[in-house]
Amino acid sequence: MNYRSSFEIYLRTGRRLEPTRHALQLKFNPWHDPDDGRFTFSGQGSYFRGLGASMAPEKSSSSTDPTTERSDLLRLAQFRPNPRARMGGNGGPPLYDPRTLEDAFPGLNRAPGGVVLSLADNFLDFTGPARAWTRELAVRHAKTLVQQIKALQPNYELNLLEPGGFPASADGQVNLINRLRFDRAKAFYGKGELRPLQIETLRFLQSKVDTAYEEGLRLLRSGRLPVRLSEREALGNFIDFRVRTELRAHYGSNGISIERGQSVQVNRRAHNVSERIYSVPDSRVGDVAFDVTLQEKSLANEQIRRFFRSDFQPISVVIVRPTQPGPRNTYVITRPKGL
Amino acid sequence: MREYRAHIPQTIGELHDLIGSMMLSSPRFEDHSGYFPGKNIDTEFFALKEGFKVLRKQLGEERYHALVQMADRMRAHFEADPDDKTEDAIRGREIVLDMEDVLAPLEAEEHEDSDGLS
Repeated sequence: MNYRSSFEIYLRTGRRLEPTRHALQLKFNPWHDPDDGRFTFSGQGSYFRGLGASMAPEKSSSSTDPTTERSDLLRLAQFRPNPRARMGGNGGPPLYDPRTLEDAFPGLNRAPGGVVLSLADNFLDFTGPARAWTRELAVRHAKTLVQQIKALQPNYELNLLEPGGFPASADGQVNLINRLRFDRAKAFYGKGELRPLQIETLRFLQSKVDTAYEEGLRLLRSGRLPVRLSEREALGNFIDFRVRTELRAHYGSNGISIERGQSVQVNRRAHNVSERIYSVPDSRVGDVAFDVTLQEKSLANEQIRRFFRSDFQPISVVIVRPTQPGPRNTYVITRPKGL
Repeated sequence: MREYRAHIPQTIGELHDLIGSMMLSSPRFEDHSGYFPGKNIDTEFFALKEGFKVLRKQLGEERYHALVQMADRMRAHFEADPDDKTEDAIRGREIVLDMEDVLAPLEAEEHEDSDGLS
């Protein structure tokens, strides 16, 4: 029975008849492309049952790719791929380029006092979630960085096509980008802005701590590292010695003074004159202190509280730990109220 | 690439850091991170010997000569075992511990720049 018949009966008898289920012509295409959710022809993509049925799609009988089986089962029809992952034809993914600690520790600029915030997981990556590194991308990033440095320091010279050419290997390109980032931080430092140097110091420390930890563990496991203390204590000390020595060399090679009284210091006393106490952060850049450690440290540690009580009044203390034991090992502690 | 310049220790604490750092970077002292492409056994022992000279007065003649002699022996061990396969590299690292012992009384006096990683 259709709508017209029902209406005629209503006019003649006054009775309302429900149209039968078959009277409604409902169009429904159960076939969808699991990648973009669009309709497909019958037998292609995944089969999704109608209302009332499970949302789990049934696999197309024509699909024979075993690698897609699991992911198809877990995707809903409204699934949309990450748009950043589709970039590439229009210049590639955006440069992941944190310039301040606020960029590397999400939420830092709004965090209340005494809060602990973890370092972004992809801090040492260059392309954020896309993870695609190409020569074209490296050249584009390098040119952008050179322009930024020249804006601050017009006489800056770096011939990207100097003898040897633009680095061919991915490692060489990463090294070049790191160098340019440090040069940019140095140019900002020359203008009195320390925040980019803070982030580049963190980048250097994290890289060096990870390398030293890996080498130290290898030596320990092979029995080639003589120790007198506990293995953990010895490893921690040797990492500390090495990272500090290399940080001094890094600043020195880049012309950044770490003499007494400068804004950048490596392992020097930070005094609290009125209380006649001092602490010794591994490094400090402006009003941020860095501590390299294997241990988890917090405001419960007297050492950390002394950092905050020192006369240079750090706004935060960055605890730099190896990333190998687990993610989010490196974190920042914001200045607590009342200290 | 930018020329690598090893830091010449200016205090006993910095000298201790340099000696301790040799534990993990020996026997070749090369850097694979890309930050220090010119770093090698020559640059590191140059920095060590120069540091001894800078701090000669604080070290005193006896300690100075003992440390120079220990550094020479340490370098010979590392050069004899560049691939870290024999006992030589381990002997070299043991000398690192001996040098720390020589410096320990002076560090206590200086009581500066020796926070350690704890």
